[in-house]
Amino acid sequence: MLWNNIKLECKKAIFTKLFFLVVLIGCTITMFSLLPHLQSYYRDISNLKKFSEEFSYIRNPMMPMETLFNHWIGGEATTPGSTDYFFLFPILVSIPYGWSYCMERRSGYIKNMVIRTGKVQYYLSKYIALFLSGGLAMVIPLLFNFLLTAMFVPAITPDPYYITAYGIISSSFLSEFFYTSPFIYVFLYMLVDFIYGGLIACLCFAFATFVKNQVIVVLLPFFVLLGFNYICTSFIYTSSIVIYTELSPMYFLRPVPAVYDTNGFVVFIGVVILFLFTLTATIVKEASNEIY
Amino acid sequence: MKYIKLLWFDIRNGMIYNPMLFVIPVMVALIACFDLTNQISALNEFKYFETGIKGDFADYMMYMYGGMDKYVPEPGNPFIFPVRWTVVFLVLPFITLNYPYKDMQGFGQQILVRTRGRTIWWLSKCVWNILSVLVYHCLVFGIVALFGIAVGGGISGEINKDLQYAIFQIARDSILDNDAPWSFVIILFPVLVSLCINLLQMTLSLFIKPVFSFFVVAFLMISSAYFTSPYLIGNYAMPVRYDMVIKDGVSITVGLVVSLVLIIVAVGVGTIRFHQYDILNKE
Repeated sequence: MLWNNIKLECKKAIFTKLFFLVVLIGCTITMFSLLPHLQSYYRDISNLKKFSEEFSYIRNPMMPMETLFNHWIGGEATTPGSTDYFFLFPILVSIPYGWSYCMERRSGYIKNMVIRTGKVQYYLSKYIALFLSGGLAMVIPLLFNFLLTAMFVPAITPDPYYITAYGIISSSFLSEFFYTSPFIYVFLYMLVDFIYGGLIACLCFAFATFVKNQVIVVLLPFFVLLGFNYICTSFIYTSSIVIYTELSPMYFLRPVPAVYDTNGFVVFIGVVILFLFTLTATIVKEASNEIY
Repeated sequence: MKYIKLLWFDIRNGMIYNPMLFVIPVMVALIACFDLTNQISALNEFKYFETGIKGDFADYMMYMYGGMDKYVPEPGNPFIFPVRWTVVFLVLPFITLNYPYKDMQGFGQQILVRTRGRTIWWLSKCVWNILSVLVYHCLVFGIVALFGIAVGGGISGEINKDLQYAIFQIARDSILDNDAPWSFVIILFPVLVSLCINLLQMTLSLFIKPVFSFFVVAFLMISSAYFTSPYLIGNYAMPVRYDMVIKDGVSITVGLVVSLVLIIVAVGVGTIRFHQYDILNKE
């Protein structure tokens, strides 16, 4: 019964026009990262070619500087695509299904469902569906960009000699994987992004328990993250000579650190806080409330 | 008379009964003020200026509305979005996003049928939007003025150029050579751009879902921060990028014309669109 419920909710969350539209928007935004990077990549290759023609040979072509792992959207923080994507992702992950609980409560659909399935099953399946839709909406455009970039730029393993070309130093989160098994690094970062994307989408469900309006519910996670970033910038990162740990998901979900490095502890604590908050507000609290 | 009643209804339901419109600007302004006070203390501590300074009201305003210096994309220079500016300019579209849409489906629908005039209904929403923008920014101005007085910085309206160049970390080669003081108008001008953005968003909501219209506005603003271009309206909301502040900045006159034209277009297109808008097919 629970499994059927989860399947039904997932179908409602993922196989919809809205989900495909959001993924399409996400993929389009990532193109604004790919195109400038391809342009710079081919310019560098052409310069190298001219150089080798002029001097007959090149002692060090510095090939590891031009690798897939610093040309895909997660490996750079300088293009408009990367900027827009990692700024707007809280809205993108919330749009596909963040509105559903508000809508179902208003229309009375929830009453019909709860009679047939029970409260906990209904809330649990909705939570899982929201988590999956948010996670997929976050990761599919990243994966699309990674694969598309891989069609043009070779996946040379990054070399620590050219550390300035990557921006990932020894204190960076998962840096040991970046210089040894970069595919695992990308996979792990996508996993982190998937989990955060899912939990941020679940925030909509949590907010929907005390906000009635679906437009506000969908946009609220974006403002929570933006507000958190604002507070961090104003009260925590106050000195320009201190190296802080990145606390804002708007920055640390980008595989290459834009401002400060993050660490596994911060990422883990973020997941725990989001998970406990969303779970308590939805399955624990809301499931014990009267719905009639 | 009918219009006044309609407008009063919108003011009451969309502004007076909307606590977010009053609470959020106060919080945003206070956080920015404390932040700048800390930064000024740090600069004074390091003896950055020859004499110790206290921030004036205009300095605090410039800090809130300033935006960011031109971004030059190059390896080793990641783009860091101007979070304070983004909060100031995106919170307002969020606050005003829902009311017209909600009203169209609720009690406002009955009013719309009884007034027998879609134009006055739409114009009432436009005026409500303009008033909301003014209330929001007036609250910010008011809080900052009170803060300026409280910290003893004064409310003279003079912007300390050296302080702003230091705070916004303006590239040395972008700084203008002249010593002419910056007019206080450069702080008032972003309010007009904010008005324009809000009206555009409201009109856009007649064509696409409100969430997507907000998404378009957010995309436009973050793109404006990234590109210093006269074609991206967000640039005119950043006093730090005006041609009277930096070399190769955007023209404030062009910004004025563009904003006014867009306001007229938003109201006009909205009026035309709303005449054909099906108010019954919404959720």
